[in-house]
Amino acid sequence: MTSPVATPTADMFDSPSAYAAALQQFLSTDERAKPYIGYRPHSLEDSASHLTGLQALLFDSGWSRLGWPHSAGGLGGDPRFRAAMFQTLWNMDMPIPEPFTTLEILVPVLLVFAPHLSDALLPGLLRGDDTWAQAFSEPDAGSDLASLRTKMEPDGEGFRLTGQKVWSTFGHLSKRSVLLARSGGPGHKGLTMVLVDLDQPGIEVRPIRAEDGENHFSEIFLDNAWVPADRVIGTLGQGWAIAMYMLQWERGAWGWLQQGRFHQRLQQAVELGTPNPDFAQQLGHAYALSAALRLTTKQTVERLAREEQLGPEVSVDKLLLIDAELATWDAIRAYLGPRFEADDSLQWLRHEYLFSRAAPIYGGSQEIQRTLVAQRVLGMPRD
Amino acid sequence: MDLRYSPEAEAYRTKVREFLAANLPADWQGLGALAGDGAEEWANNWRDVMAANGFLGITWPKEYGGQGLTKLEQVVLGEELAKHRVPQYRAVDTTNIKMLGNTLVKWGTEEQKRKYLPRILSGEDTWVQGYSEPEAGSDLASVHLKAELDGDEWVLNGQKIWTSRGMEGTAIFLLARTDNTVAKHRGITFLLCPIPTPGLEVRPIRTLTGVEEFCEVFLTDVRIPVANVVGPVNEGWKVANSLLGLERGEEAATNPIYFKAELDRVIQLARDKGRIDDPIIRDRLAWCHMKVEMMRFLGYRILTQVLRDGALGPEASISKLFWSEYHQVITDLAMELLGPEAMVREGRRPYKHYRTDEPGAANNSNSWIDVFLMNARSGTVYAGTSQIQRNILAENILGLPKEPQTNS
Amino acid sequence: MDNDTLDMLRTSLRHVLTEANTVPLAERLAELGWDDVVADDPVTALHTLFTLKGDTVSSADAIGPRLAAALADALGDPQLTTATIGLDSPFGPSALAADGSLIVDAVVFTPPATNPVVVLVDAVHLGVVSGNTLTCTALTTTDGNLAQYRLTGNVPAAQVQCIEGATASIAWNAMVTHGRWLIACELVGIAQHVIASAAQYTGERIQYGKPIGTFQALQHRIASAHVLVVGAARLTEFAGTSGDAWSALVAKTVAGQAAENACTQAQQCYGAIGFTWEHEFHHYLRRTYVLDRLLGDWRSLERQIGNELMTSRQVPKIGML
Ligand SMILES: Cc1cc2nc3c(=O)[nH]c(=O)nc-3n(C[C@H](O)[C@H](O)[C@H](O)COP(=O)(O)OP(=O)(O)OC[C@H]3O[C@@H](n4cnc5c(N)ncnc54)[C@H](O)[C@@H]3O)c2cc1C
Ligand SMILES: Cc1cc2nc3c(=O)[nH]c(=O)nc-3n(C[C@H](O)[C@H](O)[C@H](O)COP(=O)(O)OP(=O)(O)OC[C@H]3O[C@@H](n4cnc5c(N)ncnc54)[C@H](O)[C@@H]3O)c2cc1C
Repeated sequence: MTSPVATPTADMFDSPSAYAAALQQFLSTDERAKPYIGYRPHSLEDSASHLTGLQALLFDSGWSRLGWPHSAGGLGGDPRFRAAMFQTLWNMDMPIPEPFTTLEILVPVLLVFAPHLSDALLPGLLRGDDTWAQAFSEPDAGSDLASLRTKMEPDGEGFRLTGQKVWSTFGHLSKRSVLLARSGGPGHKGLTMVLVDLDQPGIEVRPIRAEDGENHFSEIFLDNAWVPADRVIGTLGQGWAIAMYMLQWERGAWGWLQQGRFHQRLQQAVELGTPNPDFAQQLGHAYALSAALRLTTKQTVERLAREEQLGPEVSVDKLLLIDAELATWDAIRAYLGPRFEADDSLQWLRHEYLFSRAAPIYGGSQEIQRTLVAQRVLGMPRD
Repeated sequence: MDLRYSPEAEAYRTKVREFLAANLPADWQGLGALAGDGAEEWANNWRDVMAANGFLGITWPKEYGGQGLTKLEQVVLGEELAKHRVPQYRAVDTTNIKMLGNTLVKWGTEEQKRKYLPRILSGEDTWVQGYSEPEAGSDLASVHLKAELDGDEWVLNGQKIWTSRGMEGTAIFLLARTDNTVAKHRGITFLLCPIPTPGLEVRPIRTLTGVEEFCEVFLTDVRIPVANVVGPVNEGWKVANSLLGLERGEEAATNPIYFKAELDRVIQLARDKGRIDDPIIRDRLAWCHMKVEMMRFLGYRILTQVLRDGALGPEASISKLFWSEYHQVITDLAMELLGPEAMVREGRRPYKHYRTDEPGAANNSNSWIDVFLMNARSGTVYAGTSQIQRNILAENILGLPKEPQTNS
Repeated sequence: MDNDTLDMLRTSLRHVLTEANTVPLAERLAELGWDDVVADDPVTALHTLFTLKGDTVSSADAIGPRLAAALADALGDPQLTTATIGLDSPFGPSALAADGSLIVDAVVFTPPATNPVVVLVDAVHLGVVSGNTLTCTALTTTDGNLAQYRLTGNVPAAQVQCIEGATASIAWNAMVTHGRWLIACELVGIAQHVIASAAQYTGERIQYGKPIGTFQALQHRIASAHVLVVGAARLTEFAGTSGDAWSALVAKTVAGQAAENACTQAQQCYGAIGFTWEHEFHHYLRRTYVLDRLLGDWRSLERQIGNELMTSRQVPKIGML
């Protein structure tokens, strides 16, 4: 058996599963992990501040650094280590600090398209000293993202940003944001991606309350906000291509992370509930879809680990995720019955239920994904 | 919504009941209880009994063999027949009486009405429907069958397809292209063509259940008299569409009865299979029951509307979607209840290949396999696919913008 | 198996499965040196065969011999490799009478001739009798192409070999697990074929002046059907490598559902042509319904999964990184 290690490194483990086992051992023995096991948040803000402690613990002990390259503050090893960490956290009924999900999406992009920023910025991000957001959507540019209008104009050693962003997850709790703006003409060729500091005079961030009563996302108002030239990710006009690159992580790696959650929540449900054949089929259905999602995203994570370039087929992962997420929460709600609706201690579970309804919208809606699969994967005709 | 029928209608109901009491066999179980070709034979005889007693085409004027009664009486007749588990007529009479007969009543010339309507009722003529073509399915207005005037004759060239019971037809009503210089809906003419006719060939198409239900009809230089036009030349689209309204009122009243009878069979099947106490099966049966009840209430609305305004509202599309999609769920449930039995074909096969099997049918696997594979699944395709119904609902009823793609 | 070998294997298997031939599949496979291929890499070989069998809706009896092999293997009784395994009959169960005689009612894909027949009596009893003690009747099946026979008989105790207890249940379950995996492969093959064909058809069929495949109503149906098929394919691959009962159970559940759903969505896209005998589609539709019902239909398997989760209070994870 692996004894608790000071600083784990990738070559200590012959497989991500071995790493997961060692991590589990660490988390179940280290006192510092205790407050996070079975943690139920009172609010999103409460959870955000509480979980920075967990994020720091995982970083300082080295566990969350595996799966990231040294240039990002990591300890090397492929992305499967990250995936295994998420699975372990779910197994232990420990919440995943929200910034991890953003990391999964933003860091790979920075590593490829803005390596000059990684040394300085990524370690802090990994450790949770900083939180970043993603600001793409605008009031008039949702599914049709390429129509976005936030203006980006050169000004001396950098650029000025003016416009409005919306639905930015955790924007009000974030120090910086990756942002997509229009630096050139119309269409996707005119778009550029930048990393902008949110704590500056030209920017106002307002939280938006979601249907579960929590401030999940924000509006960001930009009025001549400043972004230095070296904060451009990739090159001018490359924004759309980078956003597309990002999607393979957003749709693929995200799915793996989520299936862990679905399995864990189903586990909670069967622990809490009283067996009742009325709900057998619904639970079986939710489980079967979650299992299908697990193996599908497992393959995706493995492909990402081999540095394969993923194509439109990752939309399949996202679509399966939507089906599994909705089915899982419907089944849990049905199975727990009145208790689900009324038990004070299950408030957090109800919030997760409500939030599950957003699955067909965020990260590219279900309709958009289906169209992509039909046309780009199955070769059905475009109009 | 007004659920009361007029005293005249109730009096007619009594008359129908008396007729049925006098003419149905004492132990009548429904057409479904007859084995082999018995059902076919019985329905053929029965429609003659109905005709002889003045129960066919009852809304048609008396001078053409009808009874001059109202739509309400037609509804009452449909209801009573359904409740007594008797069909009104043969399967093919759907196109014959319901479709063509009613169209002629509305659009036919005096001569056409005198000539054709009595022959339809007597069974001398059997009309089948020739609308669809290989290249014109949902987009029916794009029909290609070419009709050109040559002296006092139309010359027809082209092809029809999916003609239900085409082999039984002694005549076919056609939508043909008579002007291709105008918008596609404007250049269509409704034509009548006898079978056999030189140049016309009917070829049966086997359905996926292996029976010959629909046909292809090939027309090569087929000549028909110029008088065989129904309604104005180039207004066939309007003629064809006016038919839809005629069908739906009666259907609205009878559908719930037939679907209820079918649901009862499924409940019996659940009992027979020892699954009646199974909570999930009970849930699904209760769900089906609710749907049939909703169908009934929807039916009342449609009925009231048709009877009051003579026109159909949005409920027509809703109703088509409702029963056809419901039917796939209940037949799926029946197949589930059959379990491994659904792998093996046993017993009598259904008489008709659309909607429910006949009341009285035993719960053998052949009944459910055929109804499930053919009747129920094709319900969302024929008479306007579910997608087309939804487009109609969204665009014409809910006022959603038109799908940019189908404007043509 | 490397990719080139696999491609070659696919080509020859496709040929064997589609050519008109009265010689039993087993003999034709033998000519290919099939036993060696299976011995070398059983998971890939069988996965390929059964997926292709679904893809081509071949009616050859490939599953029968595999069920026998799995049972023989689990019992450590090589003689049973020639056995015929009797599956659930729609007409009633097999039973052991008080006097030890065996009342047989079972369904098989190939007449057993004089080979041994194994039937499940209850969770802890298997009955083995010689095929020539039973009456074999051909059934008219929903899938007219797939032959099925009913075996019936009342075999005196002296001619019945009974396998009892844990040995019986373990062996039967191993056979069921193997069978579920193979049927899941076949269902996935069907579903993939149906989706690809429907996608192609909608690209060719013109209505309203454009391919009907441009309508979102159809694109979204086919796309969502495809998603479930991908999930089923991943589960099926995994069930093959792991060989465990739980993953085979889940794989067959999702595969049955995915194939049925693919057929439903495709048929709607085909319109009237999908209701004809002439179009190939109906073979896939009918085959799906029969295969789904073998060794548990997807709905009852879903319930089995749910009951298992509720009573064990454990939610297993299939597949580790
Ligand atoms: C929980 C959550 C978190 C989010 N986090 C972020 C974030 O961090 N950063 C960020 O930038 N954005 C974020 N978003 C925004 C998200 O990306 C958008 O909501 C999404 O792209 C859809 O845009 P929209 O909301 O404007 O809807 P719309 O684009 O207006 O879509 C409305 C409806 O129309 C449908 N539709 C649109 N176009 C088509 C079409 N061509 N064919 C068929 N149907 C179509 C859609 O599917 C949808 O059902 C988040 C959203 C949610 C719900
Ligand atoms: C059992 C049966 C009996 C029939 N009997 C007769 C008969 O007696 N006489 C007769 O004339 N015809 C008959 N028909 C034909 C029937 O009217 C047609 O099948 C129907 O109009 C659909 O046309 P299609 O089959 O060519 O399908 P298509 O029009 O090719 O449709 C294929 C698919 O494309 C979809 N689609 C097409 N256009 C759109 C759109 N704009 N938006 C979204 N989706 C679209 C459809 O919904 C469908 O899913 C019968 C059909 C059946 C199945």
